[in-house]
Amino acid sequence: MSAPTGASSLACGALLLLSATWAASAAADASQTRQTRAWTEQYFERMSAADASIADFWADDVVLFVNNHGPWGGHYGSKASVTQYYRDMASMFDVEKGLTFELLQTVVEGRHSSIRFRVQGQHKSGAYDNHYMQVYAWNDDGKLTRIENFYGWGPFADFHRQALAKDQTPPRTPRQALPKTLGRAP
Amino acid sequence: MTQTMRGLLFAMALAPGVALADDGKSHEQLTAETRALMEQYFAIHQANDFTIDEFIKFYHEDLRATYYRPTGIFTFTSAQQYYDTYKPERLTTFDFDYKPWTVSLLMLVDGENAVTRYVAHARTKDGEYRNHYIHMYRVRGGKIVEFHAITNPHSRAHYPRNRKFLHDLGLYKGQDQP
Repeated sequence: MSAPTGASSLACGALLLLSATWAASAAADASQTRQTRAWTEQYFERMSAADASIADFWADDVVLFVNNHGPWGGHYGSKASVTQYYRDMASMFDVEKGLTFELLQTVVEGRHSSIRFRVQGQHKSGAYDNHYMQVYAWNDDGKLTRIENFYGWGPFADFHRQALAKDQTPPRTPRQALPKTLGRAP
Repeated sequence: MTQTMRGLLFAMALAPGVALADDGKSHEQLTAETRALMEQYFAIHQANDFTIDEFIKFYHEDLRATYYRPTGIFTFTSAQQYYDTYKPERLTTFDFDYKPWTVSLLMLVDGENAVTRYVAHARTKDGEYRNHYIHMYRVRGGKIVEFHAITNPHSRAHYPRNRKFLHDLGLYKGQDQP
């Protein structure tokens, strides 16, 4: 084996430095993702338990987006309005008869995460079985700054058919045809 | 062992994610492969002249694709069924000029799992179509083997037409379909 030359030692040193920098950066990303995964799991546990302390995860300026053109669809732009939204939702369920949450898939990357889950229980209008997907944006303090709540519409089909029937009548002004995008008052 | 080789081994030891999945791939390797696949897949989404023939190459033959829409829940149980539904000659019966352009809002990748959030715009015979999408995927063997989609159409007129289209194909079974 020949002794390394000055040039090859320099190249090797540069390679080591680059590798170490890359490894440190990758390790920091992986650490951030691990932390976000843990927050996401804790958040889902509280949601499953219908634990009111779930609000501890919401930043004061949290924004909730709901994929729905019914009375609840649109953006909710404060912690108070998000709290009210979930109170409204909870009031439609007979929680005492049991509400089960099943986590089906989790995707976490950096300070974002997304989960897919199924909810079964007793809605005031009958048996409830629905699929949800939510996307979360977290800050470094472990608080949610944005929640996007998408849910399957099947269980609400009758409700939506009625709403759609109303929607087929031409609006009086274009503005009235727009989906609601503002958060409701707390 | 040369100094260069020692350096490379040192760098490999520093690299995170040494735990390997059953197929011998690290989580980071799976994530990188899934990301490359999803970026190619989404690039086609964003081209407004895509065809189903381009899409279908990304799907595993055992594809299971579930859509949760206002018109009900329906599931494709193979790539072939998906293709047969959306192949160009079939779409000529669909009264909807669906040539959308899309805006990617978010893509997250985690091992063999991925999620995309995007908005699609299109012109229809009723005017503008605008729709929020969320898709969650699972990849196997370098292809999409499962995805779940929930949509949020702004065009209400789209719902009944979409339901009729799916009903005519025998895909729409109402809300009770698993």
